[in-house]
Amino acid sequence: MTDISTKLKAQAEAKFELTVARKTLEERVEQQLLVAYNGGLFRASTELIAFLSTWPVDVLYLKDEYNRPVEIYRIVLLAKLSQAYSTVMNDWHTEYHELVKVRKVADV
Amino acid sequence: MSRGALIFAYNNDFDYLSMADVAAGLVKKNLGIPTTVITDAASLGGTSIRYIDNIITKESTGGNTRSFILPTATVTTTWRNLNRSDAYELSPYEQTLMLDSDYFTFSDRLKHMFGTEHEFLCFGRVSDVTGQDTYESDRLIGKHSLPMIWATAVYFTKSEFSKLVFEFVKVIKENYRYYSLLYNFSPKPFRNDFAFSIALHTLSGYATDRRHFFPWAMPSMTTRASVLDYRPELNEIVYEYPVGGKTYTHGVSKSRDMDLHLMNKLDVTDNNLLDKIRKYIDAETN
Repeated sequence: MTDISTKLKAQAEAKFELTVARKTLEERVEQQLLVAYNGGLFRASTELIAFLSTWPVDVLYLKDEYNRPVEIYRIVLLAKLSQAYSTVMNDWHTEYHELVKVRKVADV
Repeated sequence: MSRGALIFAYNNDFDYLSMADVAAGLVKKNLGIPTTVITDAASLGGTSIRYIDNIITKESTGGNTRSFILPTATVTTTWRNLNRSDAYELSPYEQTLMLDSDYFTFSDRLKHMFGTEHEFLCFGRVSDVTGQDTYESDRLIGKHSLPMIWATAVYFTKSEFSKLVFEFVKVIKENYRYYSLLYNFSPKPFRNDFAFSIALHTLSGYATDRRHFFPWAMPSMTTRASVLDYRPELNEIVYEYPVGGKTYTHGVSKSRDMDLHLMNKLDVTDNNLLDKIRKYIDAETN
């Protein structure tokens, strides 16, 4: 194999590995953003957090991940979602940067 | 309401009971619930138990022959998986998480399903952590494209609906050849995934009801991937996999704080690996 083809192969393999690792990390983040509350399951999305932050009523019904209406106490769910969002995003940021600064996943 | 995990573990060429014991340790640590294991006297004879809370001895009835294509060899062995349909009667819990012995709960994600209104939950999607989409061909069953579900991890409550699902799985198991012809799939080996798929689809009104699915894909590592290391301090598995289904080149990846279905039985029964996972379990439970 010539120098250039060795380099090309190494680059392609390293890129593939990093893509797999990033995808696996994203899957975990999606799982961690799910919050159980009052028999329902909610995703800590920026939209839901923003909605709960501004809605003027304290007790309301909200559609969960399974399309079921669940009675929620706005402040309680907002606190749970905000905490989950912060923790998960902080972890993701840290691990993502660990990944992008190396060429091979094995180096992490 | 009592809560717990239930694992079927019958040794063959692989030490399923040791796997189940470590799986039980992870369940206790990350989900905070006890584990009951269904096994037989022969399996119990050679395995020391550390984490399993309750053992029910029940001889397995019959078995399948199945080949596992591993990175270093193809192992054909008796696959003793035929009494999964008895789980409803055997489980001592009101709310049960039935797991394969090679499904390791490295996170607390499944804990959140307890206490919800769901009566029966399983995985409707699978995610290949080697990035190869190996399970794409398992998305549908047979010519009529029945959506496939995974019996690897099943949450059920003692309820009329769950009871019916398990009863129907027994009927399908007893008449497996008929159902294989009806849905157009191979009658051998018997697959719990197929039986549960047919039962759940039918009892959901001949439809796919995503309310019976966990809301994420089941992370799974194929038999062709190898575990290189487990780092207890990071709760992280490092693994190697052939790229493009070939073996001339390999990729390396890792998974941290995420449940995994580890299908390479040779690796998962390796005592060095299990000892490292035990170290992780003991670090917080002791």
